[in-house]
Amino acid sequence: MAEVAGGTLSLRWIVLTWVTIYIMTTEAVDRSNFKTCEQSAFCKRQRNVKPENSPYRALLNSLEVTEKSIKLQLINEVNKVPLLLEVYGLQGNMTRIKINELNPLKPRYEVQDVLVQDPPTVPLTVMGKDEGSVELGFGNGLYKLIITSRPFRMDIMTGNELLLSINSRGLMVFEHLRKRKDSEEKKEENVQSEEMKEATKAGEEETAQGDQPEGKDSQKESEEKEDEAGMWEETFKTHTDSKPSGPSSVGLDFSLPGFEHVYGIPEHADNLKLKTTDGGDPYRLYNLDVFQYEIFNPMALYGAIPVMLAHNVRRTLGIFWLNAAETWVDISSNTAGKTLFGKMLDYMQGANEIPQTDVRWISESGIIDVFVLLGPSPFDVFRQYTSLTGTQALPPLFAIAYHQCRWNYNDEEDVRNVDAGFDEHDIPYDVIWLDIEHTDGKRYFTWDSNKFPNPKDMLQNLDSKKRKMVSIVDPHIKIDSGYRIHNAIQSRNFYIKTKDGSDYEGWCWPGSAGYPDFTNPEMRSWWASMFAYDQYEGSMDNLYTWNDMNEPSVFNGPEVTMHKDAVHFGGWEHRDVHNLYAFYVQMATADGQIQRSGGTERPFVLARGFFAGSQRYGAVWTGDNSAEWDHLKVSLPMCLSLGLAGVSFCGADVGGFFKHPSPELLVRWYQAGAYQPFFRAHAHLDTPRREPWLFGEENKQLIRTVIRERYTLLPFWYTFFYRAYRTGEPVMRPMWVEFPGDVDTFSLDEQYMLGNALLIRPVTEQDARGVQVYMPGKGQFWYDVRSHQRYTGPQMLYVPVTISTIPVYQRGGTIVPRKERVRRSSSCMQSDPYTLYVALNAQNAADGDLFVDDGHTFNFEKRREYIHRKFTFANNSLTSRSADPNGHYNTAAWIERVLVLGARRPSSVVIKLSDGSESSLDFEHNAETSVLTIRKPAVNVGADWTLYIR
Amino acid sequence: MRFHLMFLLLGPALSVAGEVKRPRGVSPSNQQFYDETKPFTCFDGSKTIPLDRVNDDYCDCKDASDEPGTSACPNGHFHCGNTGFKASYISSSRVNDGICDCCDATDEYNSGTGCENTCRELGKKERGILLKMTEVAKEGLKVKQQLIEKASKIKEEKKKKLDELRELKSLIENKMKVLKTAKEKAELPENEAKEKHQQAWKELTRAKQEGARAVVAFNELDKNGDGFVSVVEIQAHSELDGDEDDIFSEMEAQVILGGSSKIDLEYFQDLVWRNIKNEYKTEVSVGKPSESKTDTNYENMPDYDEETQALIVAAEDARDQFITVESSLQDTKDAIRNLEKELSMDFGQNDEFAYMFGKCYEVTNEYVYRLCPFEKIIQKLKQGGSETNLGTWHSWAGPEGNKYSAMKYDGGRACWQGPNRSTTVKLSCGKETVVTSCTEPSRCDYLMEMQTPAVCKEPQELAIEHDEL
Repeated sequence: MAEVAGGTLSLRWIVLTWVTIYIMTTEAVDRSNFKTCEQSAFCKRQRNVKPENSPYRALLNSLEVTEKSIKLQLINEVNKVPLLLEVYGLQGNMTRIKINELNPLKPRYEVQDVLVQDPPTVPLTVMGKDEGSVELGFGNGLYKLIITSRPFRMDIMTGNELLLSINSRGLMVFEHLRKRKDSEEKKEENVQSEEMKEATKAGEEETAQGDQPEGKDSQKESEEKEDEAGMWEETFKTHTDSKPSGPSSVGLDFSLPGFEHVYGIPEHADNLKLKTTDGGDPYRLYNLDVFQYEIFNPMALYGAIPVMLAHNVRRTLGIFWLNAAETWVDISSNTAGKTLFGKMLDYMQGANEIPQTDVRWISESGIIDVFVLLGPSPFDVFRQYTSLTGTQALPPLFAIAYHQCRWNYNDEEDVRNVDAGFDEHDIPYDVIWLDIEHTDGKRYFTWDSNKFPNPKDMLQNLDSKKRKMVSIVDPHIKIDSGYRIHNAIQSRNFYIKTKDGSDYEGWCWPGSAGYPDFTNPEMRSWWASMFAYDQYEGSMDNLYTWNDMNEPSVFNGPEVTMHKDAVHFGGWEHRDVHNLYAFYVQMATADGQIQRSGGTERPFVLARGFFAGSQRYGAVWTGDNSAEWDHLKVSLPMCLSLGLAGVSFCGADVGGFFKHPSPELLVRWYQAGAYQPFFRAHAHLDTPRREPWLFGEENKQLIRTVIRERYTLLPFWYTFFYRAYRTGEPVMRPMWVEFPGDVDTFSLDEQYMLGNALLIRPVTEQDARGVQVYMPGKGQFWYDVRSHQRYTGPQMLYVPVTISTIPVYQRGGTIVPRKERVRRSSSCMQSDPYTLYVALNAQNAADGDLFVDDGHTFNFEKRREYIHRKFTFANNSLTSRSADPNGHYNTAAWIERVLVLGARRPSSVVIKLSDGSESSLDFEHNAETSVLTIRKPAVNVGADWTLYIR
Repeated sequence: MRFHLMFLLLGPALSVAGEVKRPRGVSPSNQQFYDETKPFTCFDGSKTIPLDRVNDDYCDCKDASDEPGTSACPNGHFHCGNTGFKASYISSSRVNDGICDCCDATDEYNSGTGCENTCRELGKKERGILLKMTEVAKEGLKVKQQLIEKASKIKEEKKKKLDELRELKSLIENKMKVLKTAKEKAELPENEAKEKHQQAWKELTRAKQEGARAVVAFNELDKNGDGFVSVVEIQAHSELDGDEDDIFSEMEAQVILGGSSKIDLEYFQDLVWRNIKNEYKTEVSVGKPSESKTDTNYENMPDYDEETQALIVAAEDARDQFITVESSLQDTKDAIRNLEKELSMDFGQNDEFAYMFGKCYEVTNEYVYRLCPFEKIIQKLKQGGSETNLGTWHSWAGPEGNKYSAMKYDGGRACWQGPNRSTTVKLSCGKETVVTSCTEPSRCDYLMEMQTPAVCKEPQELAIEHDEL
């Protein structure tokens, strides 16, 4: 749930009157509530700088080589402000470039807590130096970084190939902190005007002293060209940003020769392949609660991850811009306007121009801190990025099963009935959710005593079916002296402050609310302690948490968020840390869940806002979407982009949050959602009920079938989440990640890969009779998972579809583990046997792996209690061996069946165990589909064995 | 590692020699299909397998018949004997899933879950509940019977009443005709007499006014105030010049004065004024109150004469009689319409719901909800205030075959940005008529529960098998 909406009862009325009037009168987003670059003073200033000779010069004589980095001064030839450039070589083919003022007036904000550690460095060696440039080598001499003095630019090369250039277009702008030149006079004026106000209030009729501030100002401005409008104060709609530090923005350009495809920088409701932004607004990164967002545009949404990937057939690169302030990203390309024919012509004529993508990053404050991730493969970039910001937390198994949510399940009886409904209709589910109405007047950590008088009984009842519950805990706290949480935060002085030092107050669900300062580690630690069972009354170990509105959402704030001049821990302005707030909220909440179990249980926290590193704390979803076909469609690229940026645990509200989906749309959304990492149905308060059995028997069966399909694939999902946890590779990934050399995959965002094995092409079109599926790979086999029919790539296949069709193909050469005994919740399936689906490639080979642990504790990490098996099919035999000898775990789960797709009829199948004993197994072979089904190997899943197919 | 084979082979029934051998999860009626002397054939005939593959925790038959006692088949069913309670089938997916489903605990034989046999307890409880339900149903049924009888009587009465009313209506209509004629007959002389009287008064008033105007005109004309109007004085009023020659001669003026050179007031009033009154322009400014008043003043009209008054009284009497009968016709028509509507309403198979019509029932939780069956449902705050319409009577809304188990009310007050409010009322058997709850499961979509004897049914055979075999 989230944004303001329905015509609810009186409690919500006050909030509604505030917001509805100006937000809710239209159907879709009211764009005028959100800034364009033109309306954001620093973006406008920076964007007005056109490519030309950069005023920056590197002072090569200042070069200082230390163990960890090299340091060099830069100077702005115009204003003579010196900057400090630091370059680091990082382990794993990365380099870090930091630029800050050499002597800033006061410290500039550097992002905290996002990097998992101080990135380990490798030595940089000075390979050569002349008066115009210096050449640094790193990565065993594989890479060179050349710094040119005048104008300042940097180029990263490997061999003779130029990979990336920095400031090559001369767009770097580093606004130094400065004293306001008219600050003395201003102060006086301010004092005077304050006095005047006071005087007027007191009813005295004193007149001003003949001073005319306006005239004076304009005079000053003409004297000081540097002083543009919006530098010291900026007003948007009714909100004025006081900007006490004045201009402080930073901007830098990057050129990527040879690249035509760039991806990432979530969150935008847009295509996977980023578009050029010439003539329009740049992509914006600024965490915002956007009511009824529009799709296919670069507007900012709830989360921001400033990492971009560039890819071509030979190489993948990444740029990670570590800055938590409002950020805009411009993209342009020298091939953007060209037609396919034009490109062909270029090619025929000998490629007179190398395609190139240019990127420009602009942030409102902080410093320039960039990581260049040099790949070269997509998986190298994933490893590089997640070595910096951490990998996806391994979710508890239940969290990747099916979630049933609605704003709101009204009371304990409602919960009981819905829970019973799933059993009655034999549809599995793991988690039922409670939105804001479950609380006592939107006071989080409490229960509405009329509707939820006995939460523990309710949780106990769910637990008896091994099911869980999630309750919402938002980071805005009702200002109410009778509310324990508020009193505690206030008395500890943990609220964010206004520029004047009082507790910041904004309007949100509860009415007037305070916003705890999650950037304060003490605050986070206190917050975490509130999840202890004796603190959060009525909670139990099967109750987990949902952090909504954590952008933060402030209904009456500028752009529905917090004033930028609000003050955080350490005196930092909200401007500096805005995009980090959501990250910290989820961090503290996840910590709380870990702590309440004494550190044994894995947390589950869903958040709407996020930043780089949020993957360490749980799941995110795409916010308040709508029950429209295009919103279903856009959920794919939105989650794919997040996956590229480290966040694998992503999903969209199944059915669409706003509005009422047709049964067809609902069914199609379930079919798509079942193949997305976070699988939760959710609906707005004002929509009719949507439990799967409310749409007739046929639709119920369609939905039931696909939820059950999800449950059979949980071992596969879980294994790939484990891989995401280990290596940072996304679970749900763009086609090009698996087929990096096939340009035809580079712009695909209607189909994608789950892990390396399953190609998914959900039907996202109304009344679809058929869809196009691109099957890449020369000689690559693809098997329809239902019919087992085999196709050979590369080909564009037209697949006729009915309402029950979900085009899913298993890639030849992979082995997918399933559990085919679907039960009412995933925990019930813990010890159930596995079926292995071996899909042979053209060489009659395949491999795959399987991760097994207890599904909910940290024992896999702390005690290495897990099984990681590697299955290999080659030479007509299937072998199971340990993929990781460090792991050990006892489970009763066993292998009940093996299906070999694309197999010939054998004469015998024999299994050989590790003790050398052999026994023959029954099998069936379907000549029509070439599927060999091997009956009951009946070996424990942790055992070593080989199946011989003769 | 293939421990499962041994462990799961067959149910406990096979473990004791000499007893009837029934594989785990099989109902007594299906036992015959599992002959221990023969290989097993799937129920659908698709396959025949060795008997030791029955319940070996691997699904061989597509119809799941080879695995009645395990979770191996996705579409299988496990039979819980549940001695002491009701035997039942559960889905195979619930066998050994760690959750106790069969009250005799037979479904969790290998999950390590310590399930207790709760069948006797459940059976007792269930019997208690059923007994109570039976009791309620019986009593409710008695009440229902009474309601039906009463409704039937009332309906008969109402039908009779309707017939009477219809008869009455035609009587009234006839009488009305007669009275209408009488009324018209009495009104004719009344009107004539009144007219005459009024006309006379009108004449009188007008004459009086003319006289007064003549005096005014005479005095105006008589400029020198000598009591006579002279030729010269006439000539001063050029509008009195009869021809169009612009010259108002002495001769012409004298003609107006009837040939005299001057005349007095009496002569002027009697002979001259009526000839010139249309042309004469008064010198008094227009709009003076005395001038414009030409209407007859009925206030001052003398009373009707006795004869006329007698006629009026007679006519009034006729009118009163007519109006009284006319309104009684309207009342009768209304009564007929209401009765027709009521009689045409669907009050259930035997009009068992008829008693609710015209009554209202309330339940209070956060709000007060009031159901007036076959009319509407409203919601209001406990402390009063305005009412919100949650729907007006639409139709019976129970499922096919049981349509009288639910009522639908719709078209209530529109929700903000949403649909009109509507309510479903679910009816269950109770001794008394009472609304037990009202909730809002989906926004603006209300659910009300009501107990009424009207839906009570003959209790089924409620006895539970005490022992299943």
